Amino acid sequence: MIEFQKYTLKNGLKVIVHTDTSTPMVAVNVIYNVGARDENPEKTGFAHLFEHLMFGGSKNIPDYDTPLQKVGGENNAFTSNDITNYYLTVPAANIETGFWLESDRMLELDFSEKSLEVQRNVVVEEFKQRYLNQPYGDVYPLMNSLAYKVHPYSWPTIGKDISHIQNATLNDVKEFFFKHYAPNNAVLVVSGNVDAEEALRLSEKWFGDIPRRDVPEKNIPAEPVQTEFRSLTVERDVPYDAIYLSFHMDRKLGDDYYATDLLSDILSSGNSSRLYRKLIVEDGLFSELDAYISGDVDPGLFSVAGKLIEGMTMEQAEKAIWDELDKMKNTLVDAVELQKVINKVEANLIYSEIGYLNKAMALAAFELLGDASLINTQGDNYRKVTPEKLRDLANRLFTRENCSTLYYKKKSK
Amino acid sequence: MIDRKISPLVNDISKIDFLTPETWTLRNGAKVWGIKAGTQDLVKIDFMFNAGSWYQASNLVAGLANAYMNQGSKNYSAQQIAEAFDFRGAYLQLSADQQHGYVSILTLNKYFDEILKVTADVIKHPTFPAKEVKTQIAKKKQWFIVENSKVKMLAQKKFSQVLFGENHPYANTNTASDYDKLTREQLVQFHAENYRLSECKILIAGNYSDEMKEQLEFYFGEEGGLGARETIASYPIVPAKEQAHFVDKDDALQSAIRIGKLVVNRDHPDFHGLNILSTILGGYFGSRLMTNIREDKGYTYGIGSAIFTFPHASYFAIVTEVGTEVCSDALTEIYFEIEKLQNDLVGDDELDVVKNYLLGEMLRSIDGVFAMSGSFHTLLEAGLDFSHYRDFVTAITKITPEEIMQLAQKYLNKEELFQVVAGKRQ
Repeated sequence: MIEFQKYTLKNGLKVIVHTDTSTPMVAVNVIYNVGARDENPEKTGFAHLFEHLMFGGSKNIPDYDTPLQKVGGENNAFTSNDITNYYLTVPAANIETGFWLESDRMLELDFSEKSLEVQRNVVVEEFKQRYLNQPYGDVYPLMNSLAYKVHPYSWPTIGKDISHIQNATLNDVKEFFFKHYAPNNAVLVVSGNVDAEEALRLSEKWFGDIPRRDVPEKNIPAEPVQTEFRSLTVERDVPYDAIYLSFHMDRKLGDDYYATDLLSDILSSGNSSRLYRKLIVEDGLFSELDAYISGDVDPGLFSVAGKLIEGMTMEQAEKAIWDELDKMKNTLVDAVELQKVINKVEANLIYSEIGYLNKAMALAAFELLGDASLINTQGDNYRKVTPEKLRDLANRLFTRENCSTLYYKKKSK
Repeated sequence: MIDRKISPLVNDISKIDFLTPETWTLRNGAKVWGIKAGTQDLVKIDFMFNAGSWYQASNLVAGLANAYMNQGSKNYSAQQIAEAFDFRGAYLQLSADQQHGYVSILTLNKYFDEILKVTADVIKHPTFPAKEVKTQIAKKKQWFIVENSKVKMLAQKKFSQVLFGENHPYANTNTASDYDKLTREQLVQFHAENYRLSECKILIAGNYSDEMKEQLEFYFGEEGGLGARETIASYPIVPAKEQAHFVDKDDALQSAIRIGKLVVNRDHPDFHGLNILSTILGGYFGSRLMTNIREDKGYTYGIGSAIFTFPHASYFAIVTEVGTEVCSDALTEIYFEIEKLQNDLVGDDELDVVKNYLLGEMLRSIDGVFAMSGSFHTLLEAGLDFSHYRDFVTAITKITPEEIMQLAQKYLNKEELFQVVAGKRQ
């Protein structure tokens, strides 16, 4: 059970405080309700590029990092399809510096041409380092553009194309800031060695006078139901063939979400999981094989990804995966097997209670979804899942019409 | 209205409390360190054996003898071992480096006995069954080949060979064909000779009880078996004759760079100062290298420098991946920053930032039971304890700009630095 206090400031900023006196530190975490799904299809990669610019200095503070490092602090940020999350940790004695820095960049950025030009280059190098210059690095963008035809999850957070990043202008940047970065579009979580009263006082002091802004209602096109099998075959300079299957699944707050997560656990969590035992160890078909869910706010993807053992064919691999998925559709999961994945989820929830920063991030994400207290009902949601529910879900999920398959072949030499 | 241009008061953070672990010895001589901390009912245990690649006769043996201990033991099949951990939400982690083989477990206290029982069988009596080992090797070989198509792997491998010489255990000379040559018997033999309980160092962290200490004694205290080694093999370090090296990868979009040299070990009086020097150069986001090469030029997504330590040798290295077309410009800037540290004193403001950043990092590194265990683990590998970190805190508060310049002049001369680039030749 993670205890917390929740307040809403007059400007609409939600403040959550979680006290954990086992640490000498505090975390200040700000999540903004903006991600790659809010981007213009012609200007993709913007939410992430913007995250980089948030470190280029703000209205009253020319440099974000130095003052924080000077008080023993450390920070970073990440952008997903749905959100942008900024976090810092600092020794509790210097908590106010964290408030000072975070609030000033919510107030207004110092929009500079130089910072934009440099960060455009940095992000292009990040694009290369993460995607283009890695074997199998383009799988994710290829799969998402195959599975999503309308919804903006079709492009990756780094952007659809390098040119979108290279063409970003300072005007685009300003517009993006005032459209999405507002107290009424964010959640502030303070966790660690601080009491709620002090955290609230500092929140009022530093964030209280930031003006509320007009944040446009989200208007994200829903992905139509997929009605026929889709596939794409590519050849790349990689050592081994690989295969990727994706199925449309429920949104994060949907009724099927937790069961879908357990379905992926039964298939591939740990060395006792089905895919590992059968297809890697017994049949020797794959060198790597995983099933996982994307966990997005809007309906996401359930994916299976495998690299083939040399000498195995794409047909064998595909059939073997479908056989395992069909078993989930045709046979009830054994009670002990279900208990196993639930136990694992429960243990992981306990392990994750160590770490004030992780708790801050999780509270922020749940509050943005609708309610921070969802953090404490996760265990129950998993425990409610039954073998019948899993079979029923597998039958709806694992159909050919709902499947997109990427055949990723090594170039013949 | 608050004046946002003025920073809040900065408070001193140099008082750091390091907990002293309790220690005891099992009846066979294995040493245990206990860090009793945390409010959750869980424990993490690391078993550390003298079973790294230092002790192997041919490539891969130490790593795979470690990795495949979970493929079957006297009383459990691979499947049963996996089930035992998965069903209880516990984790078994196997890893090996140049010096040690590690077995680590994480479990809730309520499952401690069962988990420890299985772990003991895995550590003491692995069987390395032929079929499982064969399957795992095929899988691992493919992983190896994928990893070796990355420029950072190519650069790091070459760099380790350049620093230590190809015959030294700290050099990585693994090839894909090594996987074909490996036999099950080599693994069996390596395990029998090197996983000696009497030499084992055990680190237990979490909310453990006296009863759990007794169980540790019961499962791991047994006598018999091989005693502790009196001497270990030594290997000469033979660095490369040339300073600059290139590894070709024609289709690369980025080049991976490694620049560095051997430096003093953790127990040398210069070590802490060198660590601070490396931090100024490339050890944090506001470092000289990040500021110049990422935040001013945009040549890279990230660049850093650090001291990498082993029990018998340590090295300093600058690590980055940069766009192919800006590689030579990036190299010029890297050497420019090094020379600046040799010629100009670090400003007081900058040094103040670095000192406080490092103190904050020190706090973070012992914050929470997992972090504390991880930090102490690093010290144990080197045969040290938390007094090493207490000394570091003292060094941080005392070091002067003059001392930093002297260290740069002593340790960072360009003509002594090795440079490895992997990528496409320009």
